[in-house]
Amino acid sequence: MAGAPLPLVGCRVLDATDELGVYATRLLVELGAEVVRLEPLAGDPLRRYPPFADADGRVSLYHLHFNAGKRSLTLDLTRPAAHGWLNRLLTTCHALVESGPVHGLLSTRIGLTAMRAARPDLVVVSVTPFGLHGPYRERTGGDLVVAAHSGLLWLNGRPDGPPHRPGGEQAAHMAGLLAANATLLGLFHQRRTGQGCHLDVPATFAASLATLQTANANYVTWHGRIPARRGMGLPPFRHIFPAADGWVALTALPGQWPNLVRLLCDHAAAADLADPAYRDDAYRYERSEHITAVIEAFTSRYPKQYLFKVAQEAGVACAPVNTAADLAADPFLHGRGWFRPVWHADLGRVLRYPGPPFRLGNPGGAGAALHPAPGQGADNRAVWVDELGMDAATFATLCATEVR
Amino acid sequence: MSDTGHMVEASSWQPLAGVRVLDFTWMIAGPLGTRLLATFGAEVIKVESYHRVDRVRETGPHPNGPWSINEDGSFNDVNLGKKSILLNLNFPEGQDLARRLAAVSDIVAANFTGDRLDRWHLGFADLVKVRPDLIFLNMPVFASTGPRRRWGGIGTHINALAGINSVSGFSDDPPFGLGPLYPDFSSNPFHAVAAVLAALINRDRGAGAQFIEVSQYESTASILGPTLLQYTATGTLPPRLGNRSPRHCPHNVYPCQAAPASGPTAGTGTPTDRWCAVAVATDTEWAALCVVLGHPEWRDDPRFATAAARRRHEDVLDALIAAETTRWSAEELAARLQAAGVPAAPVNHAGDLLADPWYRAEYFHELAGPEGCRFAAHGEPIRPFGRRQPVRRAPLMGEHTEEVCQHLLGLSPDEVNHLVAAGVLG
Repeated sequence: MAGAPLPLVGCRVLDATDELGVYATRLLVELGAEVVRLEPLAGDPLRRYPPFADADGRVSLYHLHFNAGKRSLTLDLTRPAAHGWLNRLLTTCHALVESGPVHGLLSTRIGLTAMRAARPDLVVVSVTPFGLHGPYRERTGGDLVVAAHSGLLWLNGRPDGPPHRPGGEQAAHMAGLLAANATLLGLFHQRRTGQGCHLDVPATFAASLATLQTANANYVTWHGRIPARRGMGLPPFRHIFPAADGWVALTALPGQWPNLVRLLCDHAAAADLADPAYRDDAYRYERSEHITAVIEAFTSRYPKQYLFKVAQEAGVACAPVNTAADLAADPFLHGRGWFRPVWHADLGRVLRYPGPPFRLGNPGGAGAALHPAPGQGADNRAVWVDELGMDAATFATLCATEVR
Repeated sequence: MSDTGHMVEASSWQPLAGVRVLDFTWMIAGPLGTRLLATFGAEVIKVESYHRVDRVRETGPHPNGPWSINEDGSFNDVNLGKKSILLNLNFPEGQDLARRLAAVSDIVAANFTGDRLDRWHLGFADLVKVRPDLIFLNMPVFASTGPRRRWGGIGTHINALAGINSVSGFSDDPPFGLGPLYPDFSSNPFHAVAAVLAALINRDRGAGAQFIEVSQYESTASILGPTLLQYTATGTLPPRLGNRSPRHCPHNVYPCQAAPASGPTAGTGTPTDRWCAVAVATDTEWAALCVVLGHPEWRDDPRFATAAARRRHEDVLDALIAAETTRWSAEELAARLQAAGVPAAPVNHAGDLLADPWYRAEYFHELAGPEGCRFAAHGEPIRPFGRRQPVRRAPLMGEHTEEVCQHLLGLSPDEVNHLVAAGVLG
């Protein structure tokens, strides 16, 4: 099966997302879909987002990451004539994924009815901050606003300090993840029934899923208790400990206590924890401060990669607190060929991209071959003119952009 | 919240009707993914055993008074709409029944340590013999094979491994990560299900057996894309910015009027701090913020004239804004800012969401639990045609053992009784 075509090969998806939904279409690229990104003549705003590859801020790594493997079309939607061409393009698309404020969605501007007339079985997935229909539908916001509204932001931080959002725009990633799944449900349904659908994905609902356990709704409904931020760990045991050269996450999961004691004994660091009395959950709970101090005295003596290895080999859940530099140097990821080198002719260099989220075909199987994000309007001629038959004058008016 | 009971509403959109999943997943990362499959019509058969009780049946919350393993608030949420059978896979007979179930299933899913199913003779190679077009999902923390196949961890460790701790929080704190076991609710369930759904489409186009491996470490690292690419391309590690943004300013959560210390939801540990998130993306939004906060003169202050200038004076600016926001209620400030075109939201907690009429009507479900207790559960964020997708309650442990053995495997009641007595169905 290695080398078999990716599952969505032959499936074309029109991508009209902003940063709230752009991960959805990026994920569909990993599955083999042909994703066609629609840009205004002024260019996709994501092309101007930091971080940048170069000192003068011309090459956005944000854009390169999220739009890798896609194609690019431009179209001047402020001109009514463009709408007919958009609908002509839609006849060739299996799905449209769009995101942003409700008033800015492509389907709002063009009209879902017109789109359906062009392609009756079209799958339309609309990602908005607060849904298409609710009381907050007119409100706008990106990752921070969605993380705040959803309850996700509230849960992070010290109990006595301000709450913070997860790093790396995770509320937007959750919206994208759910929107990709929505698209796939729609495509499966389309394939089986020939019917289209419209799937509404409120980003705030997607991000609220992350509160499901820590702030489970039944804490409130059953006990009138609102779970608070809790700093450095799962009570009663802290889970982030200092290592000699950084930090590790280490947890004595239920059933792993004897393993942890053995690990500490092997390093002459168990203090009194080998006492059989500690096998009792309640006994440990009452002495969590002492246990934490013993573990900390142990971890502080060793480098994080050493702790990771000996703890895992002893059957104790442990991981180094990695930075991007640690991941880039990780022999495990290297051994699995996870990072993907991609040649950028315009930059004259290879960039190493993060690898695929899943392996298809066999353990450690290769991910999608990744092509660099397209230049603005790079596929204009191939699609508008060669495929859809747009004449030169219309092309010049509606689509022609300076290709970067 | 409306009561949807145990029956699927006739109007619900069920694209996965007819798809069967043999679900060995447990804890959260696997079950939350297969929950999505169940909610959209798949028959998901959760394999459980008293010899390895799903920890999430025990971790809470639990109702007041004595509680059973059927009454865990988190378990009943992440297992909506599934069936549960008891099957002890340490018995060869149990493994044989599992193989027979795989033969009549479209998808097999597991999130044990990498080679656990192989050791039960239920690995991909074993199961394709009985189901040649099987879709097989394995979700190890590291890998299905190789020296790290038995290494493990939970969301806390995956968060640390994948680098999320290193970009979350404030730069003067230790990188202690997030409150939730975040990857269990995001990267891992939803990368896995996306690959499974794509495999279903692929199978309809003639693909044979399909193996999917979601290494939870790799899967979670992949949602840190721009950060990783920034390092490999430039050698730069981004600072931990808290709620600030490298592209916009002001962009933070600001303190608001404290909530009353007592109230209907006040209880042990009920927090009273209130915050409002404000994320200004344009100069127009900046000007509107100044007006709402009663300081139109800030618009003319050269320190704040452009996003870049505001970023340079961010500490001063945040302090000025915070001095104003403490006079507002978070909800009222967010509403006023949104009305003025400024992206903003109150920093809600679980109590706020459960009190919000929109969340109550369109997101949370209130269900009669399997033993009569009433549960609140999160809805599916995917809304077909703008309507909330109905859900069914989670199963009692082993609730469908007899039904599945008789109807899917053709066992007689006597055979089932014998297997129960022998501990195979237990």
